[in-house]
Amino acid sequence: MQSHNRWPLDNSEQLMSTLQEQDATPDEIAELTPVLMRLSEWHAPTPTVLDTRRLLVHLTPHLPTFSPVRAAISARRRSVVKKCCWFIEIASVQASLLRPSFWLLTALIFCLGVLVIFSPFGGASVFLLRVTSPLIVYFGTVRMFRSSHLHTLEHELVCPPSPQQLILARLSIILGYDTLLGLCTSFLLWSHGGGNFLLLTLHWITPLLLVSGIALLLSLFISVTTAALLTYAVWLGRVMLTTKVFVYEGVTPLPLTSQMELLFALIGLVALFVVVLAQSIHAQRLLAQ
Amino acid sequence: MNSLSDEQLMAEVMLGKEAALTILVERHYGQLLGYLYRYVGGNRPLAEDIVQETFLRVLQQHSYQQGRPVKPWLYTIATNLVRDHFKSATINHMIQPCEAILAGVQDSALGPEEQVVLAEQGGIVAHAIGQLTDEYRATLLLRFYNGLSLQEIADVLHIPLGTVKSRLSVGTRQLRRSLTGIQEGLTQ
Repeated sequence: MQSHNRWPLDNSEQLMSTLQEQDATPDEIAELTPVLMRLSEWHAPTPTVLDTRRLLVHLTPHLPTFSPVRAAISARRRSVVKKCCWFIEIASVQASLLRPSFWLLTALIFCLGVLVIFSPFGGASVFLLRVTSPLIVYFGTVRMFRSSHLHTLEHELVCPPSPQQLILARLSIILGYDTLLGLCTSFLLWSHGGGNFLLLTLHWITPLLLVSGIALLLSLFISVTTAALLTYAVWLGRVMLTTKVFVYEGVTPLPLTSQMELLFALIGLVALFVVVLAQSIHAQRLLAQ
Repeated sequence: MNSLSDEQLMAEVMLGKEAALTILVERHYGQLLGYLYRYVGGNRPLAEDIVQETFLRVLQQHSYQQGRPVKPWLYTIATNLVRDHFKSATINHMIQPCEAILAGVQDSALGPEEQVVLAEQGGIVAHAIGQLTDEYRATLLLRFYNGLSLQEIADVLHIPLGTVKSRLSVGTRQLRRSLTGIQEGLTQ
């Protein structure tokens, strides 16, 4: 074992430069160098290989112990590249939870939305969009939360991400995907000079957020399918009341302004938040049992 | 694994890697032992105990922040352990060189040859360093025996850079006075 105990005392020049670094004047350096050179007279013991081995024998049992899973997770978190790879891996795993039929169906709904926009329905196109967008929620969100039916809660609880994170991740995937679809549609519309693209996104996302939020909230008390159908039915009724075609003569249709749609989106978000919180507490209780 | 930095090794140690711990101990054991041996006045068993306790604290703390410089951290723990040891009620507050060194220095009947032998054994220097107060002794040891930079010493002792320089300056002068005093006592 190499000993560094005598640095910088082996070399007077090195010692002088050390003193210079400490802001010592030339007179002080000349005065103190001989004193400090004497420090090398006192040798400290150097541990032998046996000493080192003995120390390690004593220390090794105190090494932190982690399960292989935790060790693998920590190893992945060490560098930015590994973090990115891990994120992509988790995202792909989360995305793979969705059945291919979901992606296909949602894409078909998207195509339907595009057709509706470019069709000669006129003012009815917005109505159709509002009616069809919650379908994505039903086929996406409701079908996604299938773990409660497949008895895989224990499996989710032992996963490194918490159930709360899983729910959020799934919701983010669905909402992100649908936002992307909405923006694509809006961009197409805008590029063809077809009006306000942000308004269209609002028409597309608002029902999605509201229906998913309320449905999830109701699912805490009734079955998921019933909650989704009930919410969708109420939304459908609300949209119909805003459309002249479905309102009796002499009765003024209820207005559905952009501000109101934004308010609905916020209500949906709040409902989602409440559900995520409630699910997490519920999962913790189950875990404690 | 030998090419890894202390900080990278420490991250591996926190994951329970024995190989990383071995390299880290091999890198710092000698230096830490030397520092503590001189700090406690040449008491090797005590220095060995504190080295062991230092590494144990490192393993048990579980609070290592990634990238935090390991070397100053080790010396901070070691220094605090020495201070705690001497603060305890049963221990004499003055750090004195161990008996073998002290007996040689205090024996004024030594002949010139014996004085040379004593000097070679470092008895005079040990006694002079033992006369320094704790803050000056720690600063001087870290600087001149262990080769820590000024900033590293500041980090170890949690003091400003200017204070490190001041302690080095004052401490070196005190050391010179002690050495002269002891030398004069021996030659009388």
